[in-house]
Amino acid sequence: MKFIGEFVQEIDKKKTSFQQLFGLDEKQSKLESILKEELESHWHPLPEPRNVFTEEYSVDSSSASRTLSNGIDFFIIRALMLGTGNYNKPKLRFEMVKGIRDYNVITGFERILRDLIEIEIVLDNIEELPENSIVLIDGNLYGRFTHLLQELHLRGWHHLPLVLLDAMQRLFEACVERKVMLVGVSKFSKTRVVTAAMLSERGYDVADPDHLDVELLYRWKHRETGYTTPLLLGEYAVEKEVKNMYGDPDGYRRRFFNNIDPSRREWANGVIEGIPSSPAIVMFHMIPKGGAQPMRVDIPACSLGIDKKIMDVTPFEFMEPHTVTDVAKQLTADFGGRDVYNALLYVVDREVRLGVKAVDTVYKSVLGQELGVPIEYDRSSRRFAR
Amino acid sequence: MNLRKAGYVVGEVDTTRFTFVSDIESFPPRYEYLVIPNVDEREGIGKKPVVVLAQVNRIINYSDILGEGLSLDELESIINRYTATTKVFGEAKILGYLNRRGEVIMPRSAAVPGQEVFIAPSDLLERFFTKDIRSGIPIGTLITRDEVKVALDPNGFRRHVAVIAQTGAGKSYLVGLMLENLLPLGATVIVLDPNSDYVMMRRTGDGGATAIADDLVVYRPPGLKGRRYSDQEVGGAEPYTIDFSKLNAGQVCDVAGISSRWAVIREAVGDALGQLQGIYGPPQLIEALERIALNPATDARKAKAAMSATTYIRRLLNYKIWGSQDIPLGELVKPKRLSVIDLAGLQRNVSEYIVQKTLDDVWGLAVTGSLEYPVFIVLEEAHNFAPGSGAGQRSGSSLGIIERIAAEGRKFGIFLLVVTQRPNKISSNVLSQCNSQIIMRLTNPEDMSAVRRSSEGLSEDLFNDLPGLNKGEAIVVGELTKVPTMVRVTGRRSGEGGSDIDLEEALRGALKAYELAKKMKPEEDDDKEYKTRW
Ligand SMILES: Nc1ncnc2c1ncn2[C@@H]1O[C@H](COP(=O)(O)OP(=O)(O)OP(=O)(O)O)[C@@H](O)[C@H]1O
Ligand SMILES: [Mg+2]
Repeated sequence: MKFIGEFVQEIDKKKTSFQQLFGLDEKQSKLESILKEELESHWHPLPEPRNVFTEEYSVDSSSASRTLSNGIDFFIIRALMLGTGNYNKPKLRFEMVKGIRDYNVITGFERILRDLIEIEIVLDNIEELPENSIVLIDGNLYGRFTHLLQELHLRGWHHLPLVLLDAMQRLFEACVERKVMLVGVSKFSKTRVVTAAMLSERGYDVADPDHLDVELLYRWKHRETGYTTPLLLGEYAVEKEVKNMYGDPDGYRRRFFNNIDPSRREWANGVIEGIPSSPAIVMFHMIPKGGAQPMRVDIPACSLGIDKKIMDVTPFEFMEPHTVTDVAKQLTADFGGRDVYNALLYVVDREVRLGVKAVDTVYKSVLGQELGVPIEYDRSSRRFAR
Repeated sequence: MNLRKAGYVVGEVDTTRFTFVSDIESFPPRYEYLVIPNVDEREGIGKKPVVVLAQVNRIINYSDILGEGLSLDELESIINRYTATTKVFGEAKILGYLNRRGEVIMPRSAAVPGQEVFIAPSDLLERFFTKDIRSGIPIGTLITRDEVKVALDPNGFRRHVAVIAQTGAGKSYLVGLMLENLLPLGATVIVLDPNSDYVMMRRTGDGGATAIADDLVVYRPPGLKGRRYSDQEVGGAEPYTIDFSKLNAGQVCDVAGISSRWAVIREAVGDALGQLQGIYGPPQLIEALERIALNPATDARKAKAAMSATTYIRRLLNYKIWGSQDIPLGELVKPKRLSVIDLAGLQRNVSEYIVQKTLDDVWGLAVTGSLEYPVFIVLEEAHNFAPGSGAGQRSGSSLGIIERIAAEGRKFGIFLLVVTQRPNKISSNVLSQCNSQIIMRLTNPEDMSAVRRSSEGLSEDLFNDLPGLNKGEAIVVGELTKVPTMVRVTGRRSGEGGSDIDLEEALRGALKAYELAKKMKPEEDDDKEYKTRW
């Protein structure tokens, strides 16, 4: 095979530094031995697996976008909510937008619409969920809530991030009201917050440590089962702006959402003001079976009966491990195997998937038929369903 | 038309098959018949809609969630929580459509994806497979539709018919049923019956008389012991005897089992026969042979041969079929007459001789133009009477005349109904002349390939279905139906002779006898004890 020789040479040359990346380096740094100790003390055995909740639901989404030859982008966003038995609720959103030049705007737009539709589908159906149900959303909650606190650079859609934040605030409230446990589960998370929290316990103030949380787990806990001490996330991601948000929401809006339509200003101020008093998020990692990929679990504090707002927690704090026992029990029971880290999330992921073929044959031709115009793709940009 | 929907045509469609999507509630089972009501068939430059009939070949259930890549634990975690929907699709092969004259035509245009597929209605199926249901010979129903009757076209018997299946599949049941319905049409039938399969046809299953009772004659060699059914059970039998004095030297030698290689012995038999006149039997032939052997004028070689011949001829004394009278040929070829010649219990050479003689006689009538009505000849266990060259057995005396009738009989009004469980062992000259075939369950690969070689009408699909057929299910190919038809054979009224014994029942009897015998023993023991105590 071509280039194999060159490939081997290149690896050889940089071997030591690559090995360090994998933590295969002989001499562990002092920081690492601290982290190892810390992880040891923040690692807890899993509770017995058990179905704790009356009913279980899972939510996931998929999307696809295509650029047409006339420069219009279209977006198909689908979400599915499944439940024990054969509960199955679909939701679809379709958007066409003209004039996007920046590819990042396309991905950003699509990303927010997906996050949003996952929240909305739960809101749509929450009235019919029995008390003491659990809803699993694929992905994390804290990031979704704190990530996009500025406008989207897309005309007519500048306010979209606030729509998501608004929906999430409403969902948190609805979950408390309906006594529904809301849980975000992500299979792969790049977060470093547990590392940061452990280091800060030892007096290191590292805002952005080198080590991913999962990296530590892979290194020292991969063959074990257990979960990390739950960490309450508050101002962590929004530290600098929290005070402005509730102190001067209009000022915040003018700085970060200046281009939104004037008719939306008042509503926007309300949403912004609500962020600091939204529930803090409890987060932990767990390994349900030796050798399995660690998962990150997010739960709004209010769902656990903990009355802590974002602004009450600066920036994070460890909690008693037993606060999340019920959820850990349920997630351990839901674990199926390497590919099925959570049964219902596995199914919903399969069911919601949007195939390239479906987009480029079915959806495309239905669109053409409904609009009565021929639909042609822009040949230079090729994108696929996510 | 009030049709039940089965699904929609999808994917790639051609003029011979299509795929359709259905669901777990309404999917049609394998072998079910389907229609696509409006296939646009080209006609010149125009189009006309035709109703295309198809048959389900395969039905597939699948799930894109419960995949084979999952481990048992993974599967269980899903199954315990979520009822994954099962998706169903099927494949059907197109059988054709009916034109205005009621003929089956293969379409030259394909259906279009998205067209609706329905379960075929019964009346269409009846017209599709059976030429004329009223004048046909009923043999049962479609396998998947017991409300759709299937009748054979009497004209289909113009070609010889082969009934092929492994043992116990229901050949004799079917043949009996065909005969029982062929006879009332006026047919002349001669059954050569090595296993007494047809001797009970005068009686219904529950002991009454069948409608054909008066037209059926059973012929039996008299005095044969240990028959499965007595003459009385059969409802009376005519004696079947052979006038020994009418046999020529070759026939005598064949019956006696004198190999054609032993020329001198056969010659001696010829000489001895030459000395006899009038009506005589084996004893007289033995005497004549002894005279030759003992005659000092006879040369030594021949004398020895004549002596050897007596050993063979002496065996014929045990055969109970020698009489002064042959079956009157005129009786056998009467119209609306079913003659069952019961060959059970006879030595192989003798039954072969009877088969040969019967066929020779009928053939003699036919070629001289003396056969007034067509004659149907049922040849059971045909592989024994007309073995193929590779069959590893002595080619009996009957092979020649059977091959002859197979080749030319139809021109003279003699039609064969060849029944065999070993198509691989039967003369291919005979099998290949049977243009209509009724094939039932068959699993032996050699026999299957023999069938495949001889049958043009048997498609790949049908061929593959043979091992999957159940007892009493048959595929009819050739001229008996309009298109190959899968039939569940039912409706026989007349009794069966050679039907399977109820082994379970027999074993129960055996067990009872055994236990009874065992019970007797302890009693004896008690007795002993009693005695000794005293
Ligand atoms: N269509 C049918 N319906 C009900 N029973 C049947 C049917 N066909 C056959 N049988 C039963 O199955 C048994 C075997 O049938 P049959 O004797 O006709 O088989 P065969 O193929 O002639 O076997 P063989 O090769 O041994 O002669 C009989 O007991 C018969 O009653
Ligand atoms: Mg039989």
